[in-house]
Amino acid sequence: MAEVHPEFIDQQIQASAVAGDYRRTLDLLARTYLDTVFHYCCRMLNGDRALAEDVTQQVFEEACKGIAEFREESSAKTWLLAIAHNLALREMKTRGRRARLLDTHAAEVTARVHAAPAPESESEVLSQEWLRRLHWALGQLEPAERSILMMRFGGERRGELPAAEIAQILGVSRATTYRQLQEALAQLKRIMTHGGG
Amino acid sequence: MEGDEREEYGEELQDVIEGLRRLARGVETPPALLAKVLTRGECLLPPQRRSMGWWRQVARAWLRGVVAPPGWGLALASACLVLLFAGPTIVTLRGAMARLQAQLEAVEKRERGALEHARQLMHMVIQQADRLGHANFELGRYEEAEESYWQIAERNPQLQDDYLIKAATAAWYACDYQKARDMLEERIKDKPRSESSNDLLRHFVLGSVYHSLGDLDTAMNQYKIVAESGENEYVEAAWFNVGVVYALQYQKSKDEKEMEKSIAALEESIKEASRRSRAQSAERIRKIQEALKPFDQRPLNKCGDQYHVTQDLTALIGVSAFTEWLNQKQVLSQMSL
Repeated sequence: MAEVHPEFIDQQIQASAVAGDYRRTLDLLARTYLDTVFHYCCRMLNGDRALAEDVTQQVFEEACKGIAEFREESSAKTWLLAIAHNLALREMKTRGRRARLLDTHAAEVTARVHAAPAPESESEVLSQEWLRRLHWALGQLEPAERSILMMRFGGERRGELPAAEIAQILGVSRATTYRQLQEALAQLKRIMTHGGG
Repeated sequence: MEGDEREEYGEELQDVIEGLRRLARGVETPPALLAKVLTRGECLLPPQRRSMGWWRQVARAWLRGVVAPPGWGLALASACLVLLFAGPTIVTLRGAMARLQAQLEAVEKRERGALEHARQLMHMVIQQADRLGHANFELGRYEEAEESYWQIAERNPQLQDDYLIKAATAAWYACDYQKARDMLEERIKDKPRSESSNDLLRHFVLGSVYHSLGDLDTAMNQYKIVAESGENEYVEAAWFNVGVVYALQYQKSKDEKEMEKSIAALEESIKEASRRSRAQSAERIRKIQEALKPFDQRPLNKCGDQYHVTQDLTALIGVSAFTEWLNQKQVLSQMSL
């Protein structure tokens, strides 16, 4: 697909939604933001691609149901990521329950991690092993912390949201969003270095 | 942008920010996902609203069709004359039409409100049934839990997959393996194989049900679907259960190849666990040791031995190749922790 400026696409999406041409709205939304939503879901769900695929589909299903109400209050990306944020958090809650459901029996499904790997030297920064550890540490964060980091830094540049739009999704002030981002980054670094706390 | 980030988040966090972006670059969107999203989404879209421009285009197209044949010229002229005299009546009619349209819109709005209300009520009912099912399950009242989950599955096509698995799991806990199998088989039979999370869980649970029923070949097939499906949350457990099935087959045949396959599958399970973390890998080794415990030393269960059979590696007790392999794994695991 040819590169088009996101603002121009957003204008097209809004115009088609206002005109009631929902099929075209869905087409534009999916072609433009499918990658962004899938990346976000994949990282939120600890790299479980099958589950991320399910949740991405649910995000667009929810978007379709509410497409008639979509107006210019937020960008299409913010709107979709807000839906993805809620669904991913809900899925993680359900997953926790489901894991408990099966964990008591012989079925053996558990994804809980209690201890941390040993810290490694600075020279390995950005190596594959360092990235694997970052991936692991991301999985140890609270879902809300992981979500805010994914929205701000978790996509390709054009898929990332500015702090102001994240504040809109979370229903908090911009200053609070900055503080939460700072804390989540620091916590992530702490887990990578010391394994938690 | 990067300059701003340095000011906002500090130099020491830049490597983490860059790492997060690099992680995102490593994620490829499945090629078939776009088509799935568009197909499923289109069914859920509200009816298309027509813009004024569209109506104008339709009217123009219709008029072109009417006036194009020359024979209609006379009829059109007559119609114009009629319009000239009937003009005031038409204006009145237009007013009536506008009023009728407003009434229709009001009715439609009321209907939408009622539908939304019904949807919210349904959501509340499902939530209550789910809570009830979960509470019953936690209390060990599996038949009641199954009933709640079954009701949700029956009444809500969209939630059917998820709740049928829950109902089947409850039936399995209640030692009603035939029923659990029928529920899951019924769903699988008409569906093409996919790697969605629910489908994989269904195969995993079905494998465990067949395992409890003693049908090891079918159990193995179901586990392998999950184990070989790539990266997902059930792979580790599926490889473990494959190892258990091979151990049971070794017990029957005493064929050393079966024992070797069992060790290989357990190795895969540990490998999968260590991909997540070292602690997870240590936990997997602990579970392998647990599965070596004789049944008479395990908690009693009303399902009898069938309850423990999916965690049965007792056939490998005293097998030197296995013992050696497990000791080696334990040492490595302790060193890494």
